[in-house]
This record gives sequence, structure tokens and C-alpha cells, in this order.
Amino acid sequence: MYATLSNIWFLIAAGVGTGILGAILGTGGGVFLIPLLLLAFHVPMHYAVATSIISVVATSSAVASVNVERGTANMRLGMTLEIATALGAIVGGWTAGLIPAPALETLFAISLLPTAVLMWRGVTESANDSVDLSGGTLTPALSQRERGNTFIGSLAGRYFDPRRGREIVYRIRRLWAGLGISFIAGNLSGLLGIGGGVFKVPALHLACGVPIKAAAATSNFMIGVTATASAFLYFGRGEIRPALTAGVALGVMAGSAIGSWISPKVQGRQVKRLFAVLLFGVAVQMFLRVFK
Amino acid sequence: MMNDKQSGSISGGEQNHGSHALARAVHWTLLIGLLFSALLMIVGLFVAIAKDQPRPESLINSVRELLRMGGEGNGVAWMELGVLMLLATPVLRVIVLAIGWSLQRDGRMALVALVVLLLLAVSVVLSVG
Repeated sequence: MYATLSNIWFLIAAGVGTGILGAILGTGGGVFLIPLLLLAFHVPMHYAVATSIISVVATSSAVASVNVERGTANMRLGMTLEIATALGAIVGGWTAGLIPAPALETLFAISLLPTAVLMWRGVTESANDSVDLSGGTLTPALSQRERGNTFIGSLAGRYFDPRRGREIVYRIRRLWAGLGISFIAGNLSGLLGIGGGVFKVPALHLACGVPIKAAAATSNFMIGVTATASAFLYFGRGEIRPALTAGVALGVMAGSAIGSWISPKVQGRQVKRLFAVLLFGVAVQMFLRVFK
Repeated sequence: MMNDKQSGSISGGEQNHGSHALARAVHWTLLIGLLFSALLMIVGLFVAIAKDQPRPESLINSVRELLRMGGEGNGVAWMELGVLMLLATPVLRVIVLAIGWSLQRDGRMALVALVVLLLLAVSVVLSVG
């Protein structure tokens, strides 16, 4: 196979489309990229997963660089949870090497179903999740043990929310749950080449009390390291193809930039629901491909 | 003011740790790494397309060998260097945070960053093995 004009522009275009979708829907884009590479470009599953993982590193780095400067990504919490995500990603990346392509495709198709459901439902923020600095009490409520834990206390965060017009302050509860969720998300990322943010963000919000905006930014911050942890394994197995990966990654970088610009204009529940249906259709298509 | 660390309240928030400078360092690390890797991949793509270079059967794992091949005008080697640079970017971000937290005498967070670095090193070792 040669890196020729005839195929490289299509790959770049696929990357651009994935990047735009990822930015609009708030996902890493892997859930769309892998089926596209698989069904339209006939790329073998393990190569598609490896390409997706590299693209996820690109989008995560681009988005995280902005969120870190804005202060929405909680670097201390993110780094702590990265211990679990990196561990999970290494296990997932290693396991992927042992699983035959049809089984991996089936697992991927299965993972699309809850992704589609979560995308359809969306996540709404509870008003009690955080307080402004002038507030009398801090939520979420912590257990006695958590109140005495200085490390958990040091993971608390704050950011300015322009929509609410005030500074949001929050603290972390149930760190153990966050670590568990992160391990599973890292495992899925390493195994299936997805960012896992669609699972991690609602889980961090509901289990650990992190506001949605901070959970999304922190999740994205973590994804770069998570994906890198498994990418090395794919690299070692020779499943990262330079021309394929470079074409798609460049497209994704450009698409993410375009998507970030478009996103505020098309943001809406209906758009997410439309793509949730599309994702469900993709899952069905993948099941048919595996079982035909 | 709720700033008692012992009570598990907001004392260790991002801003209280003087992390603005650190956040900026992370921002630039990610941005420069991303731009540099994109540049390497773009150059590699154009060279590979212009010279109609074939994709190698296997990946080259030695950076020195990749640099040598890149120096000889091999576009695919430049692309692979771009991919490696992209993978190195989050690793550099962890290193920057480990150094930053060490300088801020935040031993626990520096240790956490070192554990993450260790895990990434394990991944590299497993990939080579």
C-alpha cells in the first residue's frame, strides 16, 4: 500500500469529519472513526483501533491545552485518576493483542450501544453540585473519613463559569469510585481505541461530585495520557501505520479546530440525539458485519 | 473562609497552589508538542506523496534510524517521527507537572506524577519486549 494522493485525501477528510463530530458532541471521535475506517476503508480492526488511539491523543492534547489555561481541567484530580486510567489502558492494550479481530469488533459494537444511550439521554447538572465562594456550605457532602483526608481535600477545584457568571467551587467525594471508574474507562480506551469520556464524565459527576464542565475538561485532560499508555503497545506490535495514522490524525486536528468553532452554533439536544441514532445504526451495521 | 485542608474543604484548589504558571507551562507543552508533531507529519506526507514512497513492511523502532532515514528524504520516516512526537507530548506534560509540583514542594502530587510516568515507562518496556 502506498501513501498516494488517491487515498490520503479521503483519510484526511475522514479525520476532519471525525474531529468536527468529536468537538460538537464532546467525544474523542473514536466511536465514529473506527467504524468509518472499518466499514468504508476496510482497515483491519487492530489498525483502526491503533489509528483511533493516536487521533484521541491529538484531540485530547488540543482541547486540554485550552481547558488547562481556562482552569476548567482539574490537573491534580486528573493526574491522580491517571494512575488508574493508565493502568487500565495498559491492561486493555495488552489484552487487545490477544483478542482476534472479530471478537474485538463485537466488543466495539456492544460498547456503541450504551454510548448511544448516554448520548441520547445527555447529562444534566444538579444545582446542588457546587457553590459560589460566598456560599455558606460546600457540596457535595463528605463522609467523616473524607473530611479528615488531606489528600482528597487537596484535589478540590474551582473555575469561572461564564454561563452562570460566577466562580464554581467544588470538592471531591468517593475518590475510590473515581479511581474504579477511571480504570474501567482506561481499559475500554486501550482495548477499543475510544476516549471513554462518554462514560467517565457522567460517572465522575454522579459518583465524585465533579461539576459537568470540570468533569468533561478533566476527563479530556486525562485521555491523552490514557491513550498514550496503550498506544505504545500498539506501536510495539506494529499496528500503527505511519501514513494511515498521519493522514487521519492531521485531519482530526483540523476537524477539532473547525468543530470548536462550529460547536456553539449547532449545540443542542436534537443534534446529539440525531447522532445517537446514527451510532445505533453503526452498531447494527457492525453486528451484521461480524455475524454475516 | 473555608480553607482548612484538614477538614477536606477547598484549600488545595488549583489556584491556591500557585498553579497558574504551571497551567501555562502545561498549555504550551501540549501546544508546541502538537504543532511540532503536525509539522513532522505534514512534511512526511508531502515528501511521501511527492516521491511516491512505499510504506515499509514493519515499523522502525529506533529513533536514530528514523532520523537517519528522514535525513535521506524518507517521508514515511518523518511521519513516524511525527506520530512518536505526538505520543511524547502527554509524557512531556506529565514530566512538566512532576517538575512543577516538585518546585512547589508538593511532594504528594509530584509522587503521583512519578507513578504515572512509571506506568508509561512500563508500557514502553512492554512494547519493546
